[in-house]
Amino acid sequence: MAGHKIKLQSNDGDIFDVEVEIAKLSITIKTMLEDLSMNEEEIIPLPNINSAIFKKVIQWTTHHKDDPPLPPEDDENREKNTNDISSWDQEFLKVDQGTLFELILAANYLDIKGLLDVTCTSVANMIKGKTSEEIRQTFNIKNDFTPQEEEQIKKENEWCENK
Amino acid sequence: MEQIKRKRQNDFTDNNKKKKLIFNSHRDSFTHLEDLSNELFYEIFDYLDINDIYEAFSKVNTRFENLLHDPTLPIRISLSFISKSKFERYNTNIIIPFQYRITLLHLSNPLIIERLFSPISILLKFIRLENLHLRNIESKYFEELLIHLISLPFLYSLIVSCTDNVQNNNIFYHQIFRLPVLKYCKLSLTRNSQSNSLSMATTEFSPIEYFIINQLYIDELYAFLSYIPQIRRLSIQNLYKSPKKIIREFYPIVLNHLRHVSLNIIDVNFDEFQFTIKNLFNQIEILYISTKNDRAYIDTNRWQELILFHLPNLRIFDIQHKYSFNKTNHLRCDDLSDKFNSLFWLERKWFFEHHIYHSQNDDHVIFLSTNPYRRKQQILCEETNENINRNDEKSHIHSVNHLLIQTKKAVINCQNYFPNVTEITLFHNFIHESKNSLSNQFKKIFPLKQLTKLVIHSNLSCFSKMIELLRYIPYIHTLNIELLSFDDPQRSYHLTNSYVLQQNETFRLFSKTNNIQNLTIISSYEMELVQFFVNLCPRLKHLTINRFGWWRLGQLLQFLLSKTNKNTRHLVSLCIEGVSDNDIDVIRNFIEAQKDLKQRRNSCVIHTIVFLMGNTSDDSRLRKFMIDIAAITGEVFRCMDPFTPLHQEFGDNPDFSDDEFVDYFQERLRELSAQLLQNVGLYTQQ
Repeated sequence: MAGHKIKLQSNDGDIFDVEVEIAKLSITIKTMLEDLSMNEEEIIPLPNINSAIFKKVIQWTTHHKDDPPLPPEDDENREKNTNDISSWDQEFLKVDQGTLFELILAANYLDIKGLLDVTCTSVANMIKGKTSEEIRQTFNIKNDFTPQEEEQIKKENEWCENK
Repeated sequence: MEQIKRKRQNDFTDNNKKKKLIFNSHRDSFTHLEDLSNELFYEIFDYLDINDIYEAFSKVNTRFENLLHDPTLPIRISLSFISKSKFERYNTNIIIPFQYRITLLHLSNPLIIERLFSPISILLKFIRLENLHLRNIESKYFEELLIHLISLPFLYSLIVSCTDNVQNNNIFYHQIFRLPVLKYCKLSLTRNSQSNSLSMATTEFSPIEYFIINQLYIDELYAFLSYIPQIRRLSIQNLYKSPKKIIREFYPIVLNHLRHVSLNIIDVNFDEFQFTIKNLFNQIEILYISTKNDRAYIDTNRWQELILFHLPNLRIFDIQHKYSFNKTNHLRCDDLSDKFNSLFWLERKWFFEHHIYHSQNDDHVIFLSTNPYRRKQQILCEETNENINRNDEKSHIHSVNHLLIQTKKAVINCQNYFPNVTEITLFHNFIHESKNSLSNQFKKIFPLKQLTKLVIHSNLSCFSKMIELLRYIPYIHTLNIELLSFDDPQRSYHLTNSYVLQQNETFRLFSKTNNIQNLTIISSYEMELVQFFVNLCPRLKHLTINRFGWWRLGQLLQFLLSKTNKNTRHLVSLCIEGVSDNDIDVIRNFIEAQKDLKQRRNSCVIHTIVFLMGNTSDDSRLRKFMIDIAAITGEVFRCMDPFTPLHQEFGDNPDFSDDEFVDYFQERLRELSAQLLQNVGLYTQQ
């Protein structure tokens, strides 16, 4: 029923009143409500999501609540394209790396396909065209290869560099 | 629809876990890229070309190295135009060693396709291939490929478009119907006439559930559908009447799963259509139909009878009927609207509108469904009956992403809001009638900020309004301008005004901040207008100009290639449409200057010039030549002759300084006849 709300609790204790229709964009929450016959008065805990991230998730789902679902065949055969981010989503995703990765984890846990798609697309855009050294710097990744391993890998990947 | 959620699995080795913990202890408490599970990396990799993945992660650390060599990691390959040498490296290092991991192949260059599948039996090694998408291939070659596709155990999606005319479609149909697990097929085969009859299926049936086909004759439908009894969704982009004498033999076919039918009817009359609906499509729930001229298609009584008695499950009925406009028709419009406004239609919440569509060559009326409205485009123009289906509140139309705006009145009267519009086309009448700010008018019907493409058909008077509008469209990347020469007595004034405008603060501000990369100008005016737009869009990458005007080509090339022109430093492709014979010498000189040009500029900006060659015959050598060049250069010739395959867009990453390209290019030129080269203005390269 439109306008009817449920209570969802983030892992830092904040409780959010969220419209059922919006909350059900999360397949995880939808399943809890429908399959597990959870009482709508009960507070549903979300142990993997903090309140800052959950606020962002609610913001995204509220904006996208009326999006028409893709017909199944379009969805299955659609080639994933890194230019597919709408301008609203681009603005929405102007966040620091930590928040972006938290959003991916939240979208995956809550099973919100649209949010997962758009956040993964955003990370893919950050990766595209970068060399391994640039990837290490951009994402603060430590090189754990031994010199021998590094030499071996360099040989194997020579073709990448001869562009 | 099956959920694709990837379960988070912490399947790293203990060793990796330890390493990860050590790293985290040195870092802040923020979540890092490495905190994502392998499954989430697969999700991200879906958006990247395998080449990008390897280049980015091949030497990062042990975890990513293991991830890349995980034999379960699916590889998706999408290639259009890359240079020959680059493709060879790609083929040797990625495609051949990892054939068994490739799940998707999307190829649109015939040369690459032939090289990749050479010998053709190599297809059998793509044992995990699920999705094959081939564009612009010759039908003969497709026929050979099909023989091998039958052995691929996971091929569930096939999309193919052939460039040449096909003599007998049935050969292709039979092969496709034999593919063992195919669920989705989109086929584009062109033919001049109907093939011999397809026999009805007897023992061999296909598992196809979704079929999209570009053309079919109505009497072929029965036999065609008899092979695909699992069909759920059928779309025919051009449905023709049969050239043969109509024989209404009834073949009993049961299509229990068919729910969705989409038809663009070319010349099938309503009687034939009705017969087909009764016998084949009587279980459908959704019908999209596009028709023209035959007024029986807008006979409310016939539709009511058909729907009541033969389409009991129909939930969505979406019609678009187009016919030429004249005064007599116009009078009938209101009458027609009333008939489609009866209880029968209202009960089902199926509403309709009439739109008069004015174009330079023709005026016509479109009668169309408004609810459920699923089209991606909507025209805002005069309605014949303004009182039809009006609600007090604006309805949100989510499906539309392209609005075509014809008149101011249509905007004011618009009862809909389009939250997902990203592209608008503005016509001269609308711009001319609008005395006030365009942006204020638009805010009421769609969110301006998210527009990425603006198309304008108007005259020179539109410039100041256009610039005012552009200020509110920060994400615009594509601007198309068609400047009309008629109805513009103040041409000189406007031209002068365009200079003045460039001094304007708004112009300067927009010029500094905008990210317009694609610009198309169709104009019969002076070349100075090109300068105006190039100055407006200094981050331009792709410029298309139509050669209607009398401006001098040499002057244009000089302007664009001038070392001092900072506004063209990002330009990577130039398309000039409609080049005449007189321009050939200018182009020859330009091509000769290419080497000098490379030395003069840090990067050579003009890579490809496209010509409207004006040839009207299907010269396969010429087409092949164009495709060859495109393949070699890594860039695309957007050839405008009617026989060149469509959808050849500009690539992103042309390799201008590739010596191999220059050598290969010259070698190919030597192979071609002088006459042919003259046709494309490239003879002097020898």
